Amino acid sequence: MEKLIEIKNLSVTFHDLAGTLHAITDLSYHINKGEILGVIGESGSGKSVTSKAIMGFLNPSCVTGEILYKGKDLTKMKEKEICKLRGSKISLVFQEPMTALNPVMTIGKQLEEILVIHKIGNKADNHKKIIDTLHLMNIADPEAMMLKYPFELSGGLRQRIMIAMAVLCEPDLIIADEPTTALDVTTQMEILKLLKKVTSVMGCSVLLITHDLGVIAECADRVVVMYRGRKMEECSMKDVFENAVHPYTLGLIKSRPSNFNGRYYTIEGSVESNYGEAKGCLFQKRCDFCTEICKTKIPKEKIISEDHVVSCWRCESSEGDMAE
Amino acid sequence: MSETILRVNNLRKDFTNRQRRKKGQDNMVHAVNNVSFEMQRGRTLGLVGESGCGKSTAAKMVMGLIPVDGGSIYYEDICLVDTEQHRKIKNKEMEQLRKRMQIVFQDPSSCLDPRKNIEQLISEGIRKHKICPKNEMRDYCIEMMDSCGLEPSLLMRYPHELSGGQKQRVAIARSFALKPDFVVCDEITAALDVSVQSQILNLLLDLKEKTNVTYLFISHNLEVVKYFCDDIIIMKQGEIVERGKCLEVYENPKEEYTKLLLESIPGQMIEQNKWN
Repeated sequence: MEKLIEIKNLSVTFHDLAGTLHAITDLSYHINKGEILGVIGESGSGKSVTSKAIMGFLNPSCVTGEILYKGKDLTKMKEKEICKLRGSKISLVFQEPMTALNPVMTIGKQLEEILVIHKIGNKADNHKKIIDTLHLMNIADPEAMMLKYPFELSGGLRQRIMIAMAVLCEPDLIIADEPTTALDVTTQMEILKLLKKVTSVMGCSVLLITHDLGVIAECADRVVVMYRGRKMEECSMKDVFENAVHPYTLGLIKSRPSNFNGRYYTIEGSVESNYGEAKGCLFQKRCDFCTEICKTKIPKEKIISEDHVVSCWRCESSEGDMAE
Repeated sequence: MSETILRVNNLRKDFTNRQRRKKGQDNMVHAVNNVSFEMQRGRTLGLVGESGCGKSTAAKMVMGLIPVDGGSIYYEDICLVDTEQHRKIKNKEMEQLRKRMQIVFQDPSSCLDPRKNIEQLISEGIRKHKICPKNEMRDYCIEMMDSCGLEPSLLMRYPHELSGGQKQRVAIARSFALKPDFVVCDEITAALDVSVQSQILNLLLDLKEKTNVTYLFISHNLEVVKYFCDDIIIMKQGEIVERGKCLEVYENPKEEYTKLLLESIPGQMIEQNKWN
């Protein structure tokens, strides 16, 4: 399958009063054309920072490594070049649609603005295009919708407008950063179905960032599990629930509230901060299977099958046992 | 054993919409309409529905935070409000009752005063209701923090220094410091991660075992409600659609709306092993 985005050895470090914060360390994964890639992890795992790095929102001095988009490195592009891609080829759907939409502009104006900035078509074409896109979003009366202001809409409708904005220029990649966290169960389902429909109609890829495994199970094709800025496991959606190896992935699956047995399952402790150099596996303090080697050496990535990669010492040793 | 702790009858709340009144349309929004339920001591009741269905409004009326437009609320045998008999509890008595009825809000970062440290936040209610003598205040605070899984070293910290899960623990510690019988939990895990959510729910279960408190648990997360609550009420547009024992409703939903809600829980194929 063709790779649309390839992230190679990406590291993001922030410097502040408390020292050096390693937000992302040595991260590599790719997004295929036309797939939905789910990125999952707790808050502070660096999921959103990755998406910001792809969009070029970060100070270039913080970022090392490569982000290849169709063979071109996004981290080395000039601001002007990135501006052309942003919103037209790579677009972003935010978590909180109320703060992302401009409260003093009508929906129609906001949508038109994107087409004007990216100089696509004349006024009549633009209007038709917006109407078509709103139709695709299952909005009943697009003409009336264009005259409304964001405060007049419900949360689900606002999120639909956000998705409409993202797909207006027919992008190659939509980054959806927790698109359903602020929504009800029924609206969440509608939005997820909509995302799926859009990808199949337009043939674009989606990077779906979330902390809810249910959302991942609903629509992702492949999954990347992140913890404290590192990739813990990468595999197909089916493998996550059937053949997951990494203790963190297993912990997340067991933490779902439907696994109730007198008490809810929790991963002990909380996410530690990433200040300073880490020694050994980042998950060691919360891991049930922690051994001596976990405390001293960072595990290497282990390829289990074609698209199943894990970095955990536990998996290395069991592999060794099998060889004997 | 089953002793009624709270009785709510035909509760009603209307809001007026000024813009619609100008246009001469029907300007009443029935936020809560004819809602009645009873709660037994020690049994957790789940109040479920989409946003705007009136579940938080109902809880606020029970707590006496907003005025009631119709109906009656009885806590044990004390009448909080009864519009038919034109009775309403005196403010002084309500203040005393607040000690026994507590609420924990959805967003821990906005319900904690940013200019007070954790000790001040927790001891505020203790001081007001004179739960313990002044010289034992700090020890009592530490004891409460300990039972809610917070380190004593956090005593002098301010809310902005804590994580979301810790802030929610402070909010819970603050409520339980008054030794309440009845606690309203208004979407307390909506802003939290999955594993932190489990930690907070376990904490509530531990506290329930220890103090035999009764929860009114408001949520739109049906997965959580399923095992956390004993009884469930499903609301839609201010009215009760379905009620019953929690697991029974999940297994045999009678109303179309309940079925729709249950179908919308994401990731059901994980349990059913159905892959497309």
